[in-house]
Amino acid sequence: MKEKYIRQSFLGENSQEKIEQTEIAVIGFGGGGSHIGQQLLHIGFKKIKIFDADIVEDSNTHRLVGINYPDDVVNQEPKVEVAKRMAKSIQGEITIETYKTTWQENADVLKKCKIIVGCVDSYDQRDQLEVFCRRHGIIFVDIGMVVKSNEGESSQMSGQVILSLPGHLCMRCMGFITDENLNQDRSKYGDAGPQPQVIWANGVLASTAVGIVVNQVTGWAGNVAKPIYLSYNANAGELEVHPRLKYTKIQKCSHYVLELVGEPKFIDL
Amino acid sequence: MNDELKITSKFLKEIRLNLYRPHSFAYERVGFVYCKATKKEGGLVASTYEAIADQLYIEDKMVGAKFSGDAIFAAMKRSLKTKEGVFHIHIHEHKGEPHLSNVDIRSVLEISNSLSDVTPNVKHGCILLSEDCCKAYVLSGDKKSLQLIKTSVIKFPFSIFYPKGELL
Repeated sequence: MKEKYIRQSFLGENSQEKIEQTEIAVIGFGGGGSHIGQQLLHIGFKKIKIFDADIVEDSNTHRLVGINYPDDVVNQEPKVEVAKRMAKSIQGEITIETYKTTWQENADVLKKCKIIVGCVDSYDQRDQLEVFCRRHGIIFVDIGMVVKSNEGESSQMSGQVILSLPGHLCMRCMGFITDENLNQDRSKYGDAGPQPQVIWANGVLASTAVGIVVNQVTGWAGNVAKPIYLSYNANAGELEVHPRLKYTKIQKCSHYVLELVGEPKFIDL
Repeated sequence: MNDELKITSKFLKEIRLNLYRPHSFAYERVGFVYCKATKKEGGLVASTYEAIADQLYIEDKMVGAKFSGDAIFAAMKRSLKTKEGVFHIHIHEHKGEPHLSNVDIRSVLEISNSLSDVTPNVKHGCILLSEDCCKAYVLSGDKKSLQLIKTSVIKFPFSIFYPKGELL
């Protein structure tokens, strides 16, 4: 093992090789995705694909890891350029593929990935990503946070980290994706202004997700294959298994059956 | 070669349980795994398993399992309709990396060629299991040999069998 990774050698025999060989994508390089990209690069992932169609704006300054203020804002730098710069500063070379597009516009490159980490804003996007992952046998990790404000009360900040493993319970089985919240989502997400986000909550969720990814690749923690749905109560600073998963009676996913894997296509009726 | 076959560990477990059922005279069981293409350059995801029906086995003490052409014909018919890749599957009962025997190679080549005649645009081949390893082979472009491909078992932690022979 290379000297620079010696202090993570406890991850197991060939762990660094496994990490370097794993193709992984990060969808969204904002508050959560920039944390995740940074950590994946430090850990030594070499086959990283990053998708984000946005440019850096003033309102990203408080949470975008790797931002070069004010130049990135003034130059309207694409967020994926921040990712490239980050890769060069951490790895010494640009080891990542970046796409200044939505993931749907370049979905073919995602099909090779073993893991996709979704750092997207809406239930609808999460739902689409999970459908894609299930179709192509890809492990999906989702993170997200939301702030709810009620007049006269303090804002409630919460979030989730979900591991959706093909063959196991999906986000619908876990009660996270529902028709109701998909409909609500289409009108607005959260109710404390436009997409409220803060760096510390993004950091907690992103770090937890990276831990799940590394465990999935190396198996160092010795768990067994199972879906994960962690609920983050940022007001209390608590992260715990969500009751919807903890007490679920669902044994088998009925939403994504194996017969439906592969490219979608028209069939004769 | 960019070919890769993905299979979930849950599905693989179900297949193993099915293959371990004793047969009245055959030494081992075999089946077909139907795979859907997921990308142009050769991605496949295992989708459905069909066991060879008991009555289609033919008694032959020279091999572990022999089955009638009806089973292959049924697989050809299904592939023609669904455009799925068809992979013959069986287990070698030991730990570590399994290897195809000469009989395996000969019979899988015959079956895969038959399947390739009806659906030439999808990959056909075989999946070979041991007690702790899973490898997939596809029929080569010239249809004369079987090529080992990258095989991913989606589980915790996921395992990938690379064509060079190393198991990561």
